[in-house]
Amino acid sequence: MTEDSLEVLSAFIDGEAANPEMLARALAAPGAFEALLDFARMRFEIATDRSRPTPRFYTSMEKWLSASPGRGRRVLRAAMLGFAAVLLVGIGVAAGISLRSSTDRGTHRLAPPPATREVSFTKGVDWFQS
Amino acid sequence: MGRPTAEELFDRHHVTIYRFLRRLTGDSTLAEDLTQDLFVKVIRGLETYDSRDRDLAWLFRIARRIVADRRKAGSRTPDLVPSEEEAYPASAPGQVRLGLDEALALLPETECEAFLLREQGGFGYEEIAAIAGATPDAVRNRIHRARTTLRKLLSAGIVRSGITGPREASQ
Repeated sequence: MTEDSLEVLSAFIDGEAANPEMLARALAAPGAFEALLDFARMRFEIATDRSRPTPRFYTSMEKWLSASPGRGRRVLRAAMLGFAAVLLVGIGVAAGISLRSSTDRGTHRLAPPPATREVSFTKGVDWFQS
Repeated sequence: MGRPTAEELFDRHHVTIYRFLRRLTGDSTLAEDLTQDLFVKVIRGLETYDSRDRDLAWLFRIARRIVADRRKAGSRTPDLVPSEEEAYPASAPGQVRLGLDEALALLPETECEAFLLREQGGFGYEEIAAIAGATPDAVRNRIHRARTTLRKLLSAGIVRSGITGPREASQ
C-alpha cells in the first residue's frame, strides 16, 4: 500500500473531503482493511481514555477558582435570580390580596338596598276578586 | 452569547486538556501542572479571550504556548520539538509490545500534537491548522505520518530498554 493511499484513508476517517477515485484506489489496495482497523483502534483507545487529574490537582485548583471573578459573578447572578423570584412571589401575593379585597367590596355593592315600605299579605284573601 | 467564566471553562474542558497534555508529555504529574498553569492564566485574565475560536480551541492554543514556555525554561518538560529527520528506533529481537502512550512519546511533537488535536480534541484540519499555525495540508500530512508511524511502532514491537525516541532522547 502506498503512502498516498494511506494518507487518503487517514484523511477519509477524519471526515475530510476525499477524491472519490483516489479513495476507491486506496480502499482497493492490499492492506487497506488492516490500516483502517488500526486507525480505528487508536481512535478507540484515545476515546475511551478515562484518566483524570488527582485529588491534589482539584484541591489546588479550588483555591484559584474560589478567588476567580467568575465565581463572584456567579454568586451575584444567583443572588439576583433569588431576588427576582422573591419579587415575583411578592407581586403575586399582593395581586392576590388586592383581587380578594376588591371582590369583597363587590359583594357589598351587590347587597339589597334598605326597605322603603312594607307589604303584608293576609292568608285566605283573594286579592284578585276583592 | 458572552464570554464564559473561567469556572465554566474549567468545568467543561479541564479533563480534555489534561488528557491531551498527559499524552503529549507522557507524564501525568507534569500534565496536571500544565493544566493548572493554563487555568490559572485564564482565571487571572492573563490570556485574551478570542471569541472567534471555539472555547476549546482557544484553550488548546494556550496549552501549546504553556508547553513551549516550559520547554524554553528548561524545566522537566521533554524537548517537544525534535528534528523530523531523527530516526525512529528499529525493531529488535526480544521485542516488547509498546502501548499507545509509549509510541506517542516517540513521535516528533508536531505530528503527535496534530494527531492528538484530531483524536483528543476532535478538531477538523482547518481548526488544527489555526491552532498549530500550519496549513491544512501540512496538518493532513502530519496526522497521516503520525498514524503510519504509530502503526509501525504498535505492530512491530520494540525493545523498551535503551530506546530513546526523538522526544525521550532529550529529557
